[in-house]
Amino acid sequence: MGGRKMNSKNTPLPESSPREFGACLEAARLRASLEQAVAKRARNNISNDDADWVKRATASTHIWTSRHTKTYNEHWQKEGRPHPEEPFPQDDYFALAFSLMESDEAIIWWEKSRDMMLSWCCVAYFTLQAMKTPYCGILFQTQKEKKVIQLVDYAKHLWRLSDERIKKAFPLAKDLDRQPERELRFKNGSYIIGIPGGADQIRSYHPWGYLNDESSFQPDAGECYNEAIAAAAGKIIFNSSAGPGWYADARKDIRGQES
Amino acid sequence: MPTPEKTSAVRKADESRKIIELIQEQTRAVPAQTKLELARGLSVRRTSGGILVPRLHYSANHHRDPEQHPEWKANERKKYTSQAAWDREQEIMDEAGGGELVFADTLVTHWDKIVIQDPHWRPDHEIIPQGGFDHGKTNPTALLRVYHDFDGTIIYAGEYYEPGRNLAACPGH
Repeated sequence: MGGRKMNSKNTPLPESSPREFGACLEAARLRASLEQAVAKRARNNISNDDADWVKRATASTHIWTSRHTKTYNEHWQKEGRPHPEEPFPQDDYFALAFSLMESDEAIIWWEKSRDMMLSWCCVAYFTLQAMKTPYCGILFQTQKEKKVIQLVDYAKHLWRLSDERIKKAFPLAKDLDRQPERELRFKNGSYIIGIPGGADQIRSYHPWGYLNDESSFQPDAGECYNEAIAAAAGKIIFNSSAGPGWYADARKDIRGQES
Repeated sequence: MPTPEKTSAVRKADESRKIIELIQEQTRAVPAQTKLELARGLSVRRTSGGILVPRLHYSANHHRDPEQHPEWKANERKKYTSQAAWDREQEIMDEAGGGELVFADTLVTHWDKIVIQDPHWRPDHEIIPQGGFDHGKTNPTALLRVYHDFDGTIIYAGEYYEPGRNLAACPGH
């Protein structure tokens, strides 16, 4: 039988090009492969540079917050600020506050005037620890759920407004929009979880760090402290403006409960 | 974004770390509750159990420092309804407001109507006196004696009110 050879499905079988393009195609394949290798090598070099930069940019909470991420200010218009999102202010006390938190003190009890951004500072400190340390669990606790959601939102905001290289170095377990409102989880296994007031809320967790915010206004802050001591392996920070109660008495050694 | 090693933030972080290391040692060398100044508006002390208690006052913020910008305090104070509220929220006074006379305004305004001024008045002997007790030290220890008459009227007949003393230090304990 004459005519072109066909396979069983009546499709023409591949044949060599009569114009001998095969060599050209092979050369093109080699060229593309070479270009890909060069691009990959370049990408790796950038990643190494980024890693070094990120290491220095996150060497301390003060460096990160004052240069490479931003906070938000709900009173920005009233205060005449040009933008609601800005890096942490330049007041000297921020660097000192962060150094206090980064020191080897296992427990810190802050007392403060209102509206000093100290809650932001505590959140920033713990968030950076979670970003940099794999499987670092952090617990935030306040009296009300709404407030603790706000604290977790501070952490999310600080991550979201970080330099892109930092975000790339410390990726999230899943997109911010898909994270629960009381949680922030990182790909390295670290997490930040917000819990409402109540000593019994702490028991099921074994975090590295624990932040109790506005402690003067939590009726069972003393019990929370005892639970935190038992549960948290690393840093415990209480932070509050003034008010009567356990936290005031303990700070002043009136009841000596910390012993 | 600037290069990290060229920023003042790096220098400031290094300096702060050294200051904190020094102050940690110093707070261990002095008696508990001894306050040491770290910077304007920022001090630290330790409890008898060794826990570090930093205190951050609004004067640490240079925009709010009364020595530099007294107008901030003057304007901000107006937002607070009482001196006690200001003292508690901004001056970091835990005990502020404790023992404020809640009914002072009512008492003064309606004195002639609500205060029994007859020195010979005594409650009906069938009325059982009732009391309320709240001990404390940061806030005062208080004991209140009242009579609840048959018409539902509450008559306040005496009080004990002693700030700065705990229960063990109260007379008759």
